[in-house]
Amino acid sequence: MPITTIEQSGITGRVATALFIAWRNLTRERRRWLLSASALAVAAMIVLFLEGISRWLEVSSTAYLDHSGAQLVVSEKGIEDLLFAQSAFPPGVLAKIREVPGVRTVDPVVAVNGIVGAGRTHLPVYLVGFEPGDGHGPWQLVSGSAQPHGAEVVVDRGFASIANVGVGDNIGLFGHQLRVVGISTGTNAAGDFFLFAPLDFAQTVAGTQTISYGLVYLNAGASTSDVIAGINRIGGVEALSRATIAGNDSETITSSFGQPVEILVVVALVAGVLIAGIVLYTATVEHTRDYAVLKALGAGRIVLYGSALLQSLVLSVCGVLLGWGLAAGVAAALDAWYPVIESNLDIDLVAKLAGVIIAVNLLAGLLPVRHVRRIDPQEVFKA
Amino acid sequence: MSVLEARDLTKTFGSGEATVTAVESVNLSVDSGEIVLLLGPSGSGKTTLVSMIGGLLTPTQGTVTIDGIGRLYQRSDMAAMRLRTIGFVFQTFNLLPALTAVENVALPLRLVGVGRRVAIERAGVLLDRLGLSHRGHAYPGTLSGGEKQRVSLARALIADPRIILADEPTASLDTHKGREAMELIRASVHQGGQACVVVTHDTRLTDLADRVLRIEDGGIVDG
Repeated sequence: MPITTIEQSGITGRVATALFIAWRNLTRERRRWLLSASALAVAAMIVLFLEGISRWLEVSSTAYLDHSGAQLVVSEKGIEDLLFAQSAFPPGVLAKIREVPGVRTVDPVVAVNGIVGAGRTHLPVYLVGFEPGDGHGPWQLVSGSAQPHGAEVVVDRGFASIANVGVGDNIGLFGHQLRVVGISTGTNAAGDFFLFAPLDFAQTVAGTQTISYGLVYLNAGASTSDVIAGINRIGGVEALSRATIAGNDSETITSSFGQPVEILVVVALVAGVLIAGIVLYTATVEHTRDYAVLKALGAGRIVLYGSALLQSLVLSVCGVLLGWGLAAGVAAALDAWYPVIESNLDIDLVAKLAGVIIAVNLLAGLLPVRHVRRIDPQEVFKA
Repeated sequence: MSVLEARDLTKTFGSGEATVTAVESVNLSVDSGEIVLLLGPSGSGKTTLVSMIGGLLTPTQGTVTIDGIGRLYQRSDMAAMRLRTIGFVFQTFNLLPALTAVENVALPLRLVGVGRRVAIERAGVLLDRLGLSHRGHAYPGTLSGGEKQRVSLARALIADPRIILADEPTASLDTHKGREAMELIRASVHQGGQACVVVTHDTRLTDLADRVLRIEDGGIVDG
């Protein structure tokens, strides 16, 4: 039966053939395939893990304010961030803020930055003093209570792990002994561990009866700009939107920690491209003879280049999936052994990066395609 | 009318004083069901000639027609023409190691877009005809030399080509297996009506050819 009389499935059939050849080339030599996928996976893991750290730095630096729900933050005049500057204003100002038209309520917060001993090391901490019941303590607990009273404190789980303390234990902080009543999570702001204590205790630590910040909630329909103008007229303090303060914190973190991480991500991505290029090129060169046979038999471009590209695609996808697993494993191991930094491998981030890595690998995959294009079909006559 | 007509086929490599003429003014015609044996030592131009006839190499001069239709070497669909009109049998079999015997045989059909089921079915029938149905799912690495050459022949025949080009088809086989393979090619060609050119340096195969031509220094010296 001549082939012209046989039902043909056209391009779909040729693409299926290309996929079939690519898959068989990859899976026939399992050891090589595993090594190639592993090399790509390591490159993908480094990129994913580092980018996860970058995402965590960004998200964690604004987590406290994001969870507060406040529309405005009042600070000492000239201070426009939460995490780094030391703001202080008299408690009496709070009453004046409450009188500004449009303000529903303002909750005081006392913040103290410091370095404290934890186990065999010292860690940066951010002590938040809040009035129990106003909701400005920890927003997510691992264990214990979110409401410290008197000489009690809620500590971040990373801090608790490194300091080796649990609920019920006593710890020394800023020259005071406190009892741990709760362990919080999600409260590590880019390596600055949040600790939560009653407002008056934080004032004792700060050595002053001042307030650091006022978290302002507006009445429905109130004009934000009018309220800001009203607060700014009080004197000695200024009001900024939560987004502005959070943005300033985020920018500081990003420029001091995030940018170096991003540089590492780019370096890892470039290294990944080189690894991918070498791996994919080698995998194709190994099959030079097979491609020459395909050419001699009369295989068209779809099959020839398609199988080389699909080989790159299949390897890349497997590499990314394996890399994701490795990155998640490394993040989990780090979290278990030394939870100072975290890597947020959110699905949207992984999906976005996977797309970038696969696209970059496919670009590297053009190298083998170029090789296939140059193969002389007369290779088939060589003994 | 001849199935294959080669007229004034010439191939030179290099330029100026470094020009080497591999094949010079070769004329060849092969009829349907005819086996032509091209005998010649290494370097005589056999493979270059077969490459030009098979559309793998563009001649410097001359034409090749198949069933009266001229081969235009610059045509972008030359590969497709090769796929539909020529079946190759190679000295080293050139089976894809990642595919089973039946998948290797089905490959030319799959390359033109024939669905997997139909292609495999037809390859199975052909392997059965060549006495290899029991080895269909074996990978080339596990086949003997004779079995590989039969698979290679089945692959050459599956797309019902007009021409079979065999390059040293017995060189990798012992005398007995080589003769067996050649007899198989002869039987298939006589049954299928293809025009067949076999290039070899093995003079023991001459009795299996319909015509024997000798090639030396790029030219056919008798026939």
